[in-house]
Amino acid sequence: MVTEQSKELLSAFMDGEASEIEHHRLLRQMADDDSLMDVWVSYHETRRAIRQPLAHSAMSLNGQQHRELHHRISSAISEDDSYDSESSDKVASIARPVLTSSSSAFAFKPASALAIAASLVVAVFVGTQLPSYEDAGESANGLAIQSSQSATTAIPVQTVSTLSANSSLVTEFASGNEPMSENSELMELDEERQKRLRAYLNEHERMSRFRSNQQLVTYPDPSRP
Amino acid sequence: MTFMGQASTGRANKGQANTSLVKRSISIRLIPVFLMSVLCSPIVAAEVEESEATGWLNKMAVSLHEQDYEGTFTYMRGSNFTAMEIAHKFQDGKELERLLQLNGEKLEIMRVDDEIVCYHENSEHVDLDHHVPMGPFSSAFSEKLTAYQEFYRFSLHGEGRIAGRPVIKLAVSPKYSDRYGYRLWLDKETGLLLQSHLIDVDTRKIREIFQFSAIRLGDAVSEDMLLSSLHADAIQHRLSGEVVNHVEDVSVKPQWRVAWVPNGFRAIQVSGSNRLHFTDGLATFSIFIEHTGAEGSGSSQSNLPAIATQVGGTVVISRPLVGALGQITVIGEVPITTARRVAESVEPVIY
Repeated sequence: MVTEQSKELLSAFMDGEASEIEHHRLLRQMADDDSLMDVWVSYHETRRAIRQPLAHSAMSLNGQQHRELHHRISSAISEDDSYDSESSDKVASIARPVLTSSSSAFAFKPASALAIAASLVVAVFVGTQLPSYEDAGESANGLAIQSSQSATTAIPVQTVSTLSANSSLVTEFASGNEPMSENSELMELDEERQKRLRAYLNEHERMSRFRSNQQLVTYPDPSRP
Repeated sequence: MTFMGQASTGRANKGQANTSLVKRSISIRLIPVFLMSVLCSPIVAAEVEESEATGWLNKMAVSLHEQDYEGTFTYMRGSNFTAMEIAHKFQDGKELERLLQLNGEKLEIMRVDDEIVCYHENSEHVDLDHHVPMGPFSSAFSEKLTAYQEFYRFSLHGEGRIAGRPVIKLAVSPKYSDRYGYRLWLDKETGLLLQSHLIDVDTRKIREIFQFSAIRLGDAVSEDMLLSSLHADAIQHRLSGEVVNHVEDVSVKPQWRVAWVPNGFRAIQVSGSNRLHFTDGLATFSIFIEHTGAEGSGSSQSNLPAIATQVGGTVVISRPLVGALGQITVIGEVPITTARRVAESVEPVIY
């Protein structure tokens, strides 16, 4: 039975307004309550229909498919926590029959299933809200871990969007929460440009760290040529 | 009757005098109440708090330079996570500092005031073009922060404990969303910065985290801790000299201009004709210009493409220079909207 409170929590989660504790509570509820997954799917359907009305008809998965996919990925992860290529393939192979059996018009690549799993992880961390000063105080180690996870999931975000650009569900996760993936654009540069940009970054860093630079210089006012 | 009348008048006068005395007495008694109410008013309380907070910031600024300490800190900027060992000593009016990178390549940074030399363990793959993980403020922190109260609000948030030491919690909040804010945890005894968060106030996200995990202060720091741990064959290079080499004659007319920067930002360094660095005392950003086809510009190199990304708290924006063959790159610890607006305002100067 989905309560109004659960619906509000789900809505807040989708809008990136839920706290980390609420994220965990929501994930627990979703694991125990299939009807909450249906609400989740319907919210996504609505959002996608509003944003991409044309893609909507071709891309939709029904609630049953989502539930099946969620359970299979969850059980695969619980069976094997080590995140190696073997387990990734396992997750992908589990996901494939779900997605291809009843939706012949839309053939998911194996990587897309992994991407969904990754994007779920990303969705949990990138929406982390800033806690109050009092909460942040001595528990800064916890904060560091949160941000670290957020940062390290940034690369999977890029991989997600690269591997499955066709999937609006995945790209929605990838782009909706973090508009700019860490270094994604910088990584696409050729070696020479990367080197130049790195040199700029280093020069900026050095300039901003040295005390002597705090002496203001007399510079011809650029606004008055 | 007259007497009575006079007496009556006298009593009346006496009564009036008594009433006046009582009123005056009440007035005098009310002064402290009035003063208390004024002092306790939110405005006055805020001013007192702000003054106390700036006092702590000034203490921190001095402590950053003059406090002896050694310990280990972590500095996280986006996906870049650095663990460093640090020893800092103030001796004969000079700052002596040694930083050792604890993870990955063995990199040691030796600093005497603004002279910085990096030592790399001798190996086949030494990257001399590396960043300098010295903490969020390091020696650059302005000692005249009170001059920036127009742009930041300083407030105290009680006490806490970091790296086993009691701390004072302090927030530096930007008054406008065109710059980031900070949360600082200062050592209660010395004012030394033990932890900081760089915060994007718009998205309410933490962009950078700096934190001491262990620290010892005062006499515990011996000179031995400032000695290099690397072998004599370590590869070394100076950092500060590289920057100074860029500085050219600032009287040369600029070929481009920045039409807009956020209030309070001022140019702190002109490194050549194609670089400009700004600060508001806390935040900094740099502008780099690449000309293509211009004389002596090294036109063989290809321009950077249009970029808008973020590396931790540092924003990188690159875009074509309006009305000219060239590219502008803005890099800094400011929100991306601010960096973009700065980049869009850069234009060539036609004489």
